[in-house]
Amino acid sequence: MTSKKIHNDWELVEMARQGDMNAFAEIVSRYEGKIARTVIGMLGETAEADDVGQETFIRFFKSIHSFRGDSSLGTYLTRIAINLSYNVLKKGKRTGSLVQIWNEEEKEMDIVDESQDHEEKEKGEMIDKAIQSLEPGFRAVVNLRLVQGYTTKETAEILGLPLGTVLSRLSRAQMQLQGKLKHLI
Amino acid sequence: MKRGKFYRWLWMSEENALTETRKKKLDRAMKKMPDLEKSRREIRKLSELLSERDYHFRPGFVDRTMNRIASQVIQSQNAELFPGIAPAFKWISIAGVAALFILVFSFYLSQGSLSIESFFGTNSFSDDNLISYLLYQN
Repeated sequence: MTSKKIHNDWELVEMARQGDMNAFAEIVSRYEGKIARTVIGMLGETAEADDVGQETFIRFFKSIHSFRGDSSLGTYLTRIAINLSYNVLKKGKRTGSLVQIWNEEEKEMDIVDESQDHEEKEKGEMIDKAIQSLEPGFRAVVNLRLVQGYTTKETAEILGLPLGTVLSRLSRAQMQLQGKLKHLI
Repeated sequence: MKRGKFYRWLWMSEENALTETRKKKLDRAMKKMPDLEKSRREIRKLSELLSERDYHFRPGFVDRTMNRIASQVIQSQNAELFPGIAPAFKWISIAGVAALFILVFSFYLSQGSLSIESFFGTNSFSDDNLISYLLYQN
């Protein structure tokens, strides 16, 4: 039986710097979920979200030699993902509403998997819609603080904003979300 | 003290990130303002609701990403291996277009026309020339 050594992030980065593509693939695999939560949280389940997710890792690959480890790898990648998402939103590449490109696949899966809780799914969609209706600046704060569970201070650091601005955006976003999700809260 | 500030502090208090002084101020304010207590409950409920959200990329994300990286690596390696190729192509194509232009221009000067006939040198031929050629070639 062969045992695979589990490397920490920094070891993987060092290995990837030496040209070990398997190590980089491990980084992608390890942070795929986090980046998905960031990017899909910002853009919705769109074709751009998948592209931005890939681009996040490509950017990191290109700049891997300049990664000093001042912040954790997850935070560093999240920062890239947020900035790229902002760029997409600024360029207006999005259609505005939550366009789910693999909606059809999911619908098919629903038919097969009859045990799936439709009520839960509807609730999730409602929450997504409410988040997507927020302005990008508010959406980023909500995504990092409430969806991903970063602290307010970490959120401020990732977004490069003063703590007061993050708190203010959180309070305002809370009011807007309450209005939209009042039957859930 | 502005009311809005207490609402913002509520977020910090949920993370235990308030200083003792601010914590005490917030506790006192909460006794005076029932809205603050309501807001705290809403923050907790909202945090609970949103933290349940999970998003995923389509299956095969790692492969798609690694394929894109691999193709970009190959491109950059080619560029490193043959750094003069792209500029050389540029100059070759410019020189080619210039030579073609000179050729066409000199042809025009010598023949006075750019027609197909003048290109094949048959512009001075008449139908009679062709018939007599075909009739008497043997």
